[in-house]
Amino acid sequence: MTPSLLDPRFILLLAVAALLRRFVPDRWLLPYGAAVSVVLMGLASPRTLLLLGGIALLVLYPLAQLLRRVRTRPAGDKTARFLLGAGVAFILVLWVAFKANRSFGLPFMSQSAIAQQFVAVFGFSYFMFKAINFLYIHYLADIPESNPLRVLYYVLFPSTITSGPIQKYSDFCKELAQARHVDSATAAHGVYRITKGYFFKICVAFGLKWASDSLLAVAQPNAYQAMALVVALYTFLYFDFAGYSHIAIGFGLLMGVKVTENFRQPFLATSMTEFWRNWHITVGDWFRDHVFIPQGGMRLGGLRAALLAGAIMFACGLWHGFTVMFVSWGLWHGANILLDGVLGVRPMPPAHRHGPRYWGRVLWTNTRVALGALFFLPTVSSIKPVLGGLLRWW
Amino acid sequence: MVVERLCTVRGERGLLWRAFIWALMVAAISWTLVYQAGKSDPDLPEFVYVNF
Repeated sequence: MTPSLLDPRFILLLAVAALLRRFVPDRWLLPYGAAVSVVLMGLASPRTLLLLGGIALLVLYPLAQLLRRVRTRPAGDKTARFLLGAGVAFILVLWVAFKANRSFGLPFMSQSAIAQQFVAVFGFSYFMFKAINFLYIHYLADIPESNPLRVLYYVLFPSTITSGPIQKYSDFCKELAQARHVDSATAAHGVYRITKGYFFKICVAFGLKWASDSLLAVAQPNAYQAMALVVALYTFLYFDFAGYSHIAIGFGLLMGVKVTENFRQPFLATSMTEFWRNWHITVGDWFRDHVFIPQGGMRLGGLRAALLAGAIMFACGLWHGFTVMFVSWGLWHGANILLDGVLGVRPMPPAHRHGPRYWGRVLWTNTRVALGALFFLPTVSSIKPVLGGLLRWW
Repeated sequence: MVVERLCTVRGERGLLWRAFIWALMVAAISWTLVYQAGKSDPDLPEFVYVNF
């Protein structure tokens, strides 16, 4: 079993855990949620449980306690900043190690049978975002944190562990503070979201994948085939990831936690910055809160703010993977955000969202994003025929 | 109980519409899964963003 929302055994266990939750007394809802997360992850990927759970309990939780104590001391700000920096550096170093070497093994058990269970670590990239948010919020605010189970539940929340959405720790705590049994309307809505997610993935994304694979197989595509391929790739990425997010949010609702939305009509964006406010919203929000605003944000002024946003997109490309394709994807989006900044392009206000000018802006934004989707192809050589095809109108 | 609550929020037509769409989606998923299961090499790739 893997902690995948496509693994029938994992889905079944999630559904059973959500059903059993109805019989749990209110004061036991947090321990129950944490226990479910630990058991599910222990069954699906013991290595992930050991690593993420271990870091949560042995690093994040003690560091948060230290940050709380240090903040109250006179001139404790410098020490708090040092502790935050050390914690973030620790998480980043581990992330780079995992990213650079996916088969990062435990040396003392590399040849044993059980090592097969420890091959993959799921969701470390998303864990990294959560862990840094957890430390940063404890650096910024005095959060009463007395229960390590809450931290464990936060990092191992089963439906979001492999691909987000990246919920902020403060939002997660608010949900837990109103710990409640799921009423029928919420349960019905959760089931609806889950169904919608699987429909997106199994029917729509699957069809688009088939279409893009078929078009990729054409040796010398013409302009229409190349355009169809670009659109198929772009929409495939949307339906695949939005489908996942619907399922994660649906299961979250069944577990009594309202997970943050990840998509908000991105296809209607009129600029690149607006697109990134509506596509993979939680990662955009994370970079805004943890990098963009602390580094000056909009106070830097138009061009410098656009440069910073462009640099963040480059970092976002690195986050996707240490490959030429993903770095190029980050540079492409960064350059387009910078271009919008230089040209002073801003999202159109709601009152102006009609007519040819509006739809022209929407088309221009989507064209650039769709061309960026080509970087999700496996190699540079697979992009060349598509770009050639886009110029072959006769 | 469920019908009452959903009707209060969205109105009767909203509920029926959602139930209809839900049934359509379930039918499409079932059909695709049955079609996939009947193939010699069933293929359902993992979510792209898993394990990034």
